[in-house]
Amino acid sequence: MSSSPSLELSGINKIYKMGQIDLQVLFDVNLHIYPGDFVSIIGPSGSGKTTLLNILACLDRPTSGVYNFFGEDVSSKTNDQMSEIRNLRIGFIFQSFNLIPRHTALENVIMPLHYSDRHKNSNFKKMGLEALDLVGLSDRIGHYPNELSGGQQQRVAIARALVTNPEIILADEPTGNLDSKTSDDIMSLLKNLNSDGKTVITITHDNEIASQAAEIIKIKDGRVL
Amino acid sequence: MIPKYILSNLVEARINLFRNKTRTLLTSLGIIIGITSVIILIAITNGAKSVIETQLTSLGAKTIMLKPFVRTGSGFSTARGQDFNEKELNLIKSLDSVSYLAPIVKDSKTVNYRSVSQIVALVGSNSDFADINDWRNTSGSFITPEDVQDGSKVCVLGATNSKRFFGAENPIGKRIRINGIPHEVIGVLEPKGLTPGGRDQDDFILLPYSSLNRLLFRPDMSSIVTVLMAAKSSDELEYAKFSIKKILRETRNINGNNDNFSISSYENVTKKILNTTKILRILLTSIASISLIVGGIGIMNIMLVSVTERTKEIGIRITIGAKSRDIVFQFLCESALLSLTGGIVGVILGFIISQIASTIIGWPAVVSATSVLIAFFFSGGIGIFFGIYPAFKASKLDPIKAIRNE
Repeated sequence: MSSSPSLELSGINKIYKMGQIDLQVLFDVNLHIYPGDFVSIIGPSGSGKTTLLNILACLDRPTSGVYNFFGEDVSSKTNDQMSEIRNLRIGFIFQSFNLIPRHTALENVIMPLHYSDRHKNSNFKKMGLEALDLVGLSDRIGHYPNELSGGQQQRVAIARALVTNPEIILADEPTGNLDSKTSDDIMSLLKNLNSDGKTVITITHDNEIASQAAEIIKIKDGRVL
Repeated sequence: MIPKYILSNLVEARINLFRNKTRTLLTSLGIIIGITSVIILIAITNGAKSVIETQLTSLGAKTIMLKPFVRTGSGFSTARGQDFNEKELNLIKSLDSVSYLAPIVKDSKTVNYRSVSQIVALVGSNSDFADINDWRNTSGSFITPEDVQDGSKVCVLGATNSKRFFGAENPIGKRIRINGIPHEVIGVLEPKGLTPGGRDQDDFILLPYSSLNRLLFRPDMSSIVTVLMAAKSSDELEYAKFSIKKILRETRNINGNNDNFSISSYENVTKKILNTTKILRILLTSIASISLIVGGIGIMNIMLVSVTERTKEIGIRITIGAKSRDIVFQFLCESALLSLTGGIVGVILGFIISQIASTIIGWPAVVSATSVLIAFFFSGGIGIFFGIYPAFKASKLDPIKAIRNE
């Protein structure tokens, strides 16, 4: 590809200090993800894929190595600047949906907007409705998470991920809690988003899910294979 | 209009507080009790203050006492100073700020009427005595300036002595013997009853001071123990005292601090009593404030519980972009709202209870706007102060760990 990478990991190591013992979970990881990519990171549990996702998501910092996020070195960012990146440029989708139970679907969707200075004067409701429309849940805006099926909850989560119109969608086992029919729906939704220009990164241990991505990155024992 | 950011946080706080009504109520109980008691105590002590103030005014807040005594260094003992003369008293009487002046002469002598014989306190004064001390006659008349001028053998009985010597009989026009000399009773005074110290204020016989001095073979001026005066108004009291002091210093050629007279008024007493009520109010309010602090600790405790319970939620919020200040603000809004709600309930309860208490104890309870404002700011402040630690604790959570918390 001709364009420069959106996300670029070079020589990333991650070491957790567990008392006296240093536990290294990532070894010299190099990774380039370009705009519009659909990447699956696959590996067994304990392979370090969650740690890699946390670093990609600007939730965690590497012990050594350089992570360039759209050309900017993330290691120099403060926690609040990292929060801003996550807020505006990354949409999160989780295995367990992670909606806030006492808020309606619409309220959950617009939550990231409250934390954004850029959207201070935006019409939250309108943006939220548009995002819910994209995932086909316009008729469920007033429902609470416990009134929605798993697939519907995941759609709300996807709408929340989309509401600030980020370039990157990070999905951590997005279909792990769903039956196969619903899984297919969610995966095709992600594919649609990708074809609309979003960079989608999923993490999974399921080969079948991974195979739906354009590119598969295998990780084992903290090393990218 | 409230900015959207603050509004959404307040709505959020309200949702969380309503979700757990019992817990919210129990937590704010400390604040409710604290604010209620502070409001009641301020209201009742304010009421007491206004009652004491009016009572003190009727007790002679305008009265000035001039004595021919010198206060010694420590102020505890006194020594005889210089006697007043008629010229000085006339000069003082002519002051605009002084409306009444009554010299007082005192003694105790045997008084008898028919078979009743008793040693009685005798007070010699003039017609102004009634106006200064607010004495009224139940029957007969009072001493006139002519009686004083002539040294007439007349007397006015305090209510106790009217009863003692005459019982149900009308004493007016009767003659009683004072130190053996017959005096005509011209009036009987309205009873004033006992002092708070238990002294009978009505147990005396009043004579023109010139008559009393003649009876005891004493010179008029040197027997004066006090000159009672009344200022035109309580506002002019200080000025009157200043003018009297000035006249006496000038006629007596006194420079500096060696006054051979002393001048005093009840104003100091008034101030002291009002000061005492102020101290009492501060003391009581401080005690009530302790419950506010206890209430604040209760809020801190429940906010810490809330942070623990909502760890996952905080993790989600940080992951999707909440900055630490967003989390701090969210939790501070919640603790402030919790405390403020308690404060509002406390103000309402305090108002109601102090009105009820006021009808029971019989003096006004004054809930001032200031005390209500202070209560609001105080309760809001307590919520914020005791919410700071839990809020910062929440904002420092690691989102990776927090989001996995179930």
